[in-house]
Amino acid sequence: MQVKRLTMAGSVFLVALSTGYVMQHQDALASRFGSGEKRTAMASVSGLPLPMRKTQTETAPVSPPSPGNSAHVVDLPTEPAVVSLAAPARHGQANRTQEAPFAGATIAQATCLAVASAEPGPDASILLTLSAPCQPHARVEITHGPLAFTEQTDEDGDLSIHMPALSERATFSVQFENGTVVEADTTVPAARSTQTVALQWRGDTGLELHAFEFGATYSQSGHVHARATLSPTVAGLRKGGYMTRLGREDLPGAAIADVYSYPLDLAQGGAVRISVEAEVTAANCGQEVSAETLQPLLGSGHEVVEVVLAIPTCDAIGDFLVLNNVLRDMKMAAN
Amino acid sequence: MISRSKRAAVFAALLLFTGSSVAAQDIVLESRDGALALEGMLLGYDGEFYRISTEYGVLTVDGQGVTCDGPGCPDLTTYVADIRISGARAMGEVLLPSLIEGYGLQEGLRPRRVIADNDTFRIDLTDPGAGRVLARFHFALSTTSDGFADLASDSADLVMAVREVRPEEVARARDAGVGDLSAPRRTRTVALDALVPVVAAASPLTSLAPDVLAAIWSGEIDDWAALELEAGPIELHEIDSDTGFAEGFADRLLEQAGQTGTVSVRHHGTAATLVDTVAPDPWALGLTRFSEIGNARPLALTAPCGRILRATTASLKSEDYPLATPLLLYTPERRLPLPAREFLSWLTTPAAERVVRRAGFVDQVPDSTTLSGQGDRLANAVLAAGEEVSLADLQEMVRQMTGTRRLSTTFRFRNGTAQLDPQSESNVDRLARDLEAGVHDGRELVLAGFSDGEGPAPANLRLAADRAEAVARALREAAPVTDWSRVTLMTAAFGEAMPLACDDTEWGRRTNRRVEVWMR
Repeated sequence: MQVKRLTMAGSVFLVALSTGYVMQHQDALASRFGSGEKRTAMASVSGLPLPMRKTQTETAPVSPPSPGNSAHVVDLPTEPAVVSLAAPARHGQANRTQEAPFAGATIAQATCLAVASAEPGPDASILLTLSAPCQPHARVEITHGPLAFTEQTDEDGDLSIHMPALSERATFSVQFENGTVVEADTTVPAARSTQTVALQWRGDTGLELHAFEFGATYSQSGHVHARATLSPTVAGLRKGGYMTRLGREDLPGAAIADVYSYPLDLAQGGAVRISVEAEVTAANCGQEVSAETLQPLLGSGHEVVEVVLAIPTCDAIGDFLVLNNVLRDMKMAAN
Repeated sequence: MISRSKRAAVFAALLLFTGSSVAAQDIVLESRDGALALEGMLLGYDGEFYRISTEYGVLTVDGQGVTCDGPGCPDLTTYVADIRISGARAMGEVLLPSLIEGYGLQEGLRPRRVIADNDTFRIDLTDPGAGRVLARFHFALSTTSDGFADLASDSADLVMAVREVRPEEVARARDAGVGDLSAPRRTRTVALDALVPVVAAASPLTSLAPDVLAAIWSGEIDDWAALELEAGPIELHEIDSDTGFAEGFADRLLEQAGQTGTVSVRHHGTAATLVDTVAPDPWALGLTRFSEIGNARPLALTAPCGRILRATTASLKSEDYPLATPLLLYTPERRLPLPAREFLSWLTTPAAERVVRRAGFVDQVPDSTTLSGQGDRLANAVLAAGEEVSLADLQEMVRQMTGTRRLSTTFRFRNGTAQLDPQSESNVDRLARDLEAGVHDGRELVLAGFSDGEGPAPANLRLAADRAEAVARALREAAPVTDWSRVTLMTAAFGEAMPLACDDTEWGRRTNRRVEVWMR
């Protein structure tokens, strides 16, 4: 079979160009919203004032198996005084049938409680917070419908993620490596009028999802991808969609997802082209990489299809594989 | 500026087309009671049937009745159906893959798309229970012509076509033993589409007369100043001429207007790259598909008599828009593997129509419009009335229309013949299925025949009546098990009374010659 490649000069020039753009762009973001962070995907999010509105957050606590206390399993009371967690836990969902007496052991155990909560943010986004005081630096798998990604709690056992909602009734499940699961859900009315597509994979595949809004080309402001990600607020200001990269790429074998959201009420008539791209690197060249595509069904829900992409051979390192038809373009009627 | 699309030209050497052919080797097929045995070379096995070359000639043997012995026997438990689909990108990029994945999911199978590059990929359907692949659909995207060539050279099982098969392709396929591709059963309409002229998103232009379009494509008009716009060269864009779209355009508009496209036209591999090029370019005029308008501005067609024809979902379904180009799937006469046959019959289900809509194409589910929604048509009828169509004729027509809804299903004919065009053949099948299923029970369906305005009105009325009768016969033939005591099928004819387009062009007359379905 034929192997066509480009002159390296052209590619390198383009890479340099787009990197320059991203860097400048990040600086601009940083200057507007405070200092950036190490991780690009979170940088623009963490600098933003986080929405504090709470609607219908629920928690479902589980008792983590903590050695030493196993002899005395107590049904945990969920009075706010006991669950003195940073997360906005709305009590009432947990089991309250047996109020246990207040004791030192239970306090210790109660503060070990892992709690997740979800609140709606702007443009069908969600702020997902997890507090697991006894599980610092713990690897967790977060699932939201068909979407799954790997995260890690910080040194205090906390984690907060700004992510897009795939459905109006949004449920989240956070699974720790020891098997415990905490869940959270919320209602995101804006999700009904937001189109989302996603690509998800595991490990270092080099895959990226790119969106080109209404005729935008590379490096223009309508070219949205994880390295030039925009928070929902900024995306809203420029009347466009936003890309969210979910998952910790620095963790081995982590599940990663690129999610592109477009609020339909912004829609001018036209098309947003969606492509899947992969830089050919020493790590992925000549290999087949697996991923899943998530695309909206008519009405609600997403169709999930497994895809396998053949990355070009290693003499094409530095080139980009660009696939236009892995995901459908979004076609928008004028609003 | 360096185009990034060039960077896409990176392909992986991945052998996708493993093919399903079994190495020709000696086998013995023995009937289960041991009474009969056939010896020969195995030509193929499709999961159900053996094709074996014997001293009696090539025989097809039902696998259920025999046991196979010999080195050439296929492994029955690991048989995977390989189905090769070749042809137009317009269908292979999004529509067909979506349909196969939709079919798989509906059947409880797990689809998996294995991609080598934009034009070469396959979709595996896995039975999650048994954990094994049941079918592999191999895609090779190119052009309609290449699809037919692949079918003739036995490198394809299904052809994706954006135009009808040409006589020379029919001949080549017949010589190759594929059968008669021009027979009605060899083609099915998967979705509706149309040719649409487009200009830059910011252009003030909203419509063009087809004869002006033809003059532009022939080079007679080459500056926007001729259209009372800012002066500048008109730059023309087409999808690769071989995709069939431009051909359809030439057939329908240019040649009939006595023109042929001889000016310099920029060709694009896909409609998406065409519209992405045209959308920001104020000098560009392109010809794209309705399913891929992207960010360009579509132009309506203004006929000399003042009627405006716009490509919309409704006008595609009723074929009232003159540049309809349905998306077709051609099948060879030979028996296809079971998953392919099941997929093809699934294509006529409502679930398949939903996938068509979701993929951004126009499905064939009929819509219906009340009389009050047909104001434009009635206005046309009044305007066209005069010497040949009297007020009494119009009143009779409106009396008949009152209380009815027009189904978008409309029957049209190939130029100068009484033979239905492909979309209309598909309409006969669909309406016949609905009649047999009792969808229209308790209703009265009126097949209303219309003609163009050429020639004397009485003759046109007769022609219109003949056409309505022909469609009624075709429907009765195609729907033999319909309970006719529950549904009434009538015909009526109104001649040239309600023109949709102008009669001064061939495509206009073709649009006007039709049989509509009114339902009450």
